[in-house]
Amino acid sequence: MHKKIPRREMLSIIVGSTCYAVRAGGLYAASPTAVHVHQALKAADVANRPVRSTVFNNHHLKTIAALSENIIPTDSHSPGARAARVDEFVNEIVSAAGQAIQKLWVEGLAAVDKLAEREFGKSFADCSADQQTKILTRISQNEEKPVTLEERFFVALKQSTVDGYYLSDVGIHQELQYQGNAVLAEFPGCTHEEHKTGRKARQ
Amino acid sequence: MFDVCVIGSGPAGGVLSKELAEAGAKVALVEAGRTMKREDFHFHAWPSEFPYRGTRKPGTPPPAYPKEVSEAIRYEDSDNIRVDRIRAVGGRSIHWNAVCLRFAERDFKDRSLEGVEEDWPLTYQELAQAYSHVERMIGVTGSRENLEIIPDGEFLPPLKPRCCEEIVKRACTRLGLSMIPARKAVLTKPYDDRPACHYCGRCMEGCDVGAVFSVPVSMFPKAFKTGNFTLIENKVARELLVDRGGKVKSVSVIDTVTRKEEEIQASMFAICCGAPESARLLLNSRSPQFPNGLANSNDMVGRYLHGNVAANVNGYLEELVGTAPINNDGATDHTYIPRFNHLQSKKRNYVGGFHYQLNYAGFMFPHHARSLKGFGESFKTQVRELQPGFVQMGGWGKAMARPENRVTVDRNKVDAYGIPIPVLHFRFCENDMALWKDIVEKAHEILHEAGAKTIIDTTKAPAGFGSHEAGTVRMGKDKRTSVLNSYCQAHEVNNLFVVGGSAFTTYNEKNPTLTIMALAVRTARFIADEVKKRNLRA
Repeated sequence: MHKKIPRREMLSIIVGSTCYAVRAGGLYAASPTAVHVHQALKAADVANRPVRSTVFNNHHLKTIAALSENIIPTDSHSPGARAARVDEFVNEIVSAAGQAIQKLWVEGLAAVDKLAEREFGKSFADCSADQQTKILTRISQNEEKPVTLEERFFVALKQSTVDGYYLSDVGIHQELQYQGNAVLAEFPGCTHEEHKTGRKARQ
Repeated sequence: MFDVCVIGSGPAGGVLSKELAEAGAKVALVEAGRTMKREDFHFHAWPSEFPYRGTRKPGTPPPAYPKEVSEAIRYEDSDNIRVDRIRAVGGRSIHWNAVCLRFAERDFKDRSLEGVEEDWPLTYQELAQAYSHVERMIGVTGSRENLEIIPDGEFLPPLKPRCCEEIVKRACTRLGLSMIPARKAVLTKPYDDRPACHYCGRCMEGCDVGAVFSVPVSMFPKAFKTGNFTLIENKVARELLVDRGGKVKSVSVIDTVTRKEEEIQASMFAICCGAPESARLLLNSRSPQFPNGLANSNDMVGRYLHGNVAANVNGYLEELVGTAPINNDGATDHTYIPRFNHLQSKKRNYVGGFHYQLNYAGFMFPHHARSLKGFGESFKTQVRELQPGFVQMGGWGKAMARPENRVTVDRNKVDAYGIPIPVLHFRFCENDMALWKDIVEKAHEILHEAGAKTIIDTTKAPAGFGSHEAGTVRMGKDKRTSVLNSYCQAHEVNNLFVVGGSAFTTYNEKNPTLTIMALAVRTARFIADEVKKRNLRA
């Protein structure tokens, strides 16, 4: 296990050593005491923010949440895309994107609903879990070389779900249990004999 | 009036300015960008702390790469290349991976040894002392290995290999290849009033404590201390103006804030703007004496654009797949596989070599999630289980320096400041393609030997230059086919110097920055000597 220095302690190490802080301050214009203090948004604020959209209506957003949850679902290990607010992420990036991308999303969502109506007589978001899986299976068939609108939409949906989820606190901390982005006194490197020598290792 | 006006504040201009100021010259360092602010960096932050989860708003470049610059360029008749045109005090040193590799003796002799391109007008031995000087000045982690292809230097203690790297190292040993600790300008112990690395894994986003070398942190305090150094930011150079005798007398600059134009006068000028921009500035400096651009009577300025050809292969080692996550971040790449193809008896269908840097891609994001097919619980589980087995092989190879690959300027198309934009023309040649293919194949071979069942190519075709662009104002023995002598001094204009990757005669697989800084040291010493001998006027 790597030795982590608590953030507060590291802060005092860095700030306490004035010359280090001043020297690093040369990289950017800031006061030395600003080192390691984030001015950005807090994660909690992000999670509770209501989604406002210029591209999507509430039904769209509900459908995006359901679709993304199908791609990365909640399982026994960790929460899924819905908990990671992938719908909010999608809204953020699609709202800022060009017209062609916005069109793909709006038309893609309509096409998915049309498919759901035809197969099961209700919108995608109202379908059962099994029914939703069936629709996802259908539109993900040509992931490598998407042709139809639904297939191209799936590729965009999956890409955004992957980005939104694995860049979220849920994806990083709960799902992958990422241990990094920490301040260490030293980096120990590999401490496992089997990795260094191959003994006990599988051939 | 300054003795030397240095244009561009990256590793070349930063080191040159500091060395000259310490030698007693009055130096003006002119930079087109501004000093970066704390909020321009993402030090230690989590993606969720930012809008777009840390991905940037589509179409908005990072602050040091303003749109007015990134859009004012044209790639014409070109393969998949990009060039890095940062605008920031400190240049690319403010956010780099800091790899510092000495070129080998053979890297200066492609004509003599391989029968291609040109030999440099200088040898390894002539640069060795400058390499040592730079290493002592900036602090380089590494280990002495006694390998001909990667000469040893002055090193701080080495970085320690991760588990995945130990496993790949054993595979390399079985294949007869070397893997050694990375050599980087990252402090593994406190050095020169800078603290040691704290292994947050964010070197390329900028180091908040200055453990990674940067010009503002490491060079400016020394330069300012001399009392000889003036930093002039937010001034973009339009053109160099010459006197009747054909010497440079001033640089015309435009203030990026007030948009006013002014002249900065000096006895000598050094252009340190990166390969495309250094050539662009010379080509835009036309006068009756130099109608074709400054120092360009032989039409060589802008030619021989080259750099690294890059490939990336990710592997997932069976020994580690599904194991409990640990903190792998460290200081990005910790290990390095030096060039080996010149040692193998198998005949190659190309000249030049390649190396691999391991694990600079970062460990926070599961890169394979963007490539794996499918969805649902099985997809999620697969992403999770593969992640601890991740090892990245970043392959970098030589692209040939060829005259038809070049930078020109478009006089009918100007940027936001009315300056003609650069136009790039670059095609990979057969040799580059064959070498690139071998980079990918050998990466697969190594990863396979290391027990990787899943291997993902994230590059499908040769890509250039990974921020390692070079050539365009090359040095050479022959005045007809080069622009500079071995001291980066223009053949045609003796008070003009061009320092940086632009001066490279040819390239090899190794990262350019240490050599760029060594050339800056060599140039500074030459200028100081020439002033003493009264060959140059200060």
